[in-house]
Amino acid sequence: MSDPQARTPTTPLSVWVTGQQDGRTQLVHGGYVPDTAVDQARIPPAVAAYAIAHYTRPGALVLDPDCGAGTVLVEALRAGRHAIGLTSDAALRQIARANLTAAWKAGTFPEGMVLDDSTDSGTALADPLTGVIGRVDLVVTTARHAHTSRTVHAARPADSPDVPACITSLADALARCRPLLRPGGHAVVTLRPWREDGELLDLAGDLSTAAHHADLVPVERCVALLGRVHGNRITTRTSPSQRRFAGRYQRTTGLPIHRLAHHDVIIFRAPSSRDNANDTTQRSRQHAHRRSRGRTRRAR
Amino acid sequence: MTPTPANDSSDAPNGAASSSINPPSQTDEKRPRRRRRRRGRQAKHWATVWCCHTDELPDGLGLLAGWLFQAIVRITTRYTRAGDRVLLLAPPSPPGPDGPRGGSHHDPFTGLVEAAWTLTQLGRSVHTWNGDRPENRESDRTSPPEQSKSGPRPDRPAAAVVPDQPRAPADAEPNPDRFDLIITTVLAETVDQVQDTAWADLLMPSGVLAVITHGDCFAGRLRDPSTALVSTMRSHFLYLRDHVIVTEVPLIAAITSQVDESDSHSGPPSESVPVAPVRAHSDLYVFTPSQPSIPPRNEEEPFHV
Repeated sequence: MSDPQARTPTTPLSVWVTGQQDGRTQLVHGGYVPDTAVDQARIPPAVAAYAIAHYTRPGALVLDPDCGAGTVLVEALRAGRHAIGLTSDAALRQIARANLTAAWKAGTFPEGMVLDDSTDSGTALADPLTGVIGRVDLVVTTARHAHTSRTVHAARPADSPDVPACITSLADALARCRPLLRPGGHAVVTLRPWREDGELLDLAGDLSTAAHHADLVPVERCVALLGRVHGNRITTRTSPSQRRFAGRYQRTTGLPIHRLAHHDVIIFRAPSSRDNANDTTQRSRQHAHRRSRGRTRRAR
Repeated sequence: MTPTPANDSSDAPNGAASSSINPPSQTDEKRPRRRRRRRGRQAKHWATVWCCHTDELPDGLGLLAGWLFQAIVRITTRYTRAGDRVLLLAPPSPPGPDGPRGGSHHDPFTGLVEAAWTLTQLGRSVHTWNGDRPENRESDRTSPPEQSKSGPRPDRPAAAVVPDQPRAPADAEPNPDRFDLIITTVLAETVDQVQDTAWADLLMPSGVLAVITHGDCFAGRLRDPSTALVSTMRSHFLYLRDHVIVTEVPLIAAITSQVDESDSHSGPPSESVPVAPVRAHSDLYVFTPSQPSIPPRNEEEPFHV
């Protein structure tokens, strides 16, 4: 990342100012159907819009492998990109399709579709999307947590008990999306902070490790604001239950915790042919350096 | 200038006495009395994003960046009270291109210990550790120790002793010289040194360890020390309790640039590689020894943070 002092007014920052409007206002202004609010794990429209505008150009293809109510798809259409979404939840799939219809009625013309991902086969993702292998410019998705901590604990896979189930399923989705990404394409993943038994989980670290196995290179780590920026202050918007939890946490532990005002955003990139050439060159240089150090030690 | 912590609640204005000198007149009795909310100290609500950019710094600071100074003050006021012991632990300098102590390397966390005097003014008992470990001092043994703002540097803390097995602070030998708060910084290339510190001997069982760090991009790949940091701390029986974003630049410029760009949806100027974002924030990770578990209640959201 470059020096902050050298930035131009249009240079993007690692902090995305995407919380100037609250979530419900974003849905209303975006023309979403009212049932969209049912999807509590949705990516806020402003965050999706920012990622799409920064990492794609008009006419690009955006994919959300777990699209929920379809906020990523709608923002892609509104920005002049094509969009494909997948979800195994029948109710959310219906809402997502309604949102696409509303977007088309509002005047967007790019193509968009929502597919059913509810199959048992691990390679099902490739079947309906065979025609877009290597053509997806951007994947935008998020980790969807289970609804109770008991479910989270019980749902951890046996071979990786320390990795939350939401990260495991997200990593699987990224691995299945990998063949669809064009060389040099990006995958933007938003992560909502998550606690278990009072401990904050390192979801970004687990995700980066898992994405490594999918041949995705982490390139940036940013922050998407949920709160509104007022000059040099940020106003949070937390629910009553979140405030109750924060109060109970502080009374129990004596340790204050902070109200949620951001999501972590991890950006991955599919290696391109130039990356592979650079990796080969770098490995050659490292090998030559190690050999020269060995000769120096033997000479002493 | 004495810094003021952020989110200060407004005190009741001076002179707003509840009792009046003159007895109420009949006219006053006829007017309906409006209940006024008592303006006492309100609960302070802190967000997971701190805007720490500032152009005003106390006198006497040299290398310490303004945003880092603000962050240190906020951490101290947030997690300690007057009389608590605070340690500012500056890590060893990262190696330069010419060797361990040569070359130039831009360390954004330089000058951490310069905040000691300000924290002392806030009523904390401040200690500092600024320097390299003996194994890094190859040729500088005759140079005098660096002096901190709060006075002569104390004896080297037990941090230099590398334990065979990390212990939890509660299992360490009782030591009144341990600290209620430790503030330190970590770079991506020096995160391994966290493992070599005996945190149990430094931190009180109820203490807080605040680590400021950030990721950076090197050769087109993200170097994020947070994963190794969290994992290492867990091996020392210190658990991640909070993650705060500390912004280093004013965000108002970002708002303006985003408004300008949103109209065109033009995307990145180059089709192959979008413009890399400028790093505008650092990460504050808060660790504490094991705490009681807090399972969520049924009526609460699952995304409690």
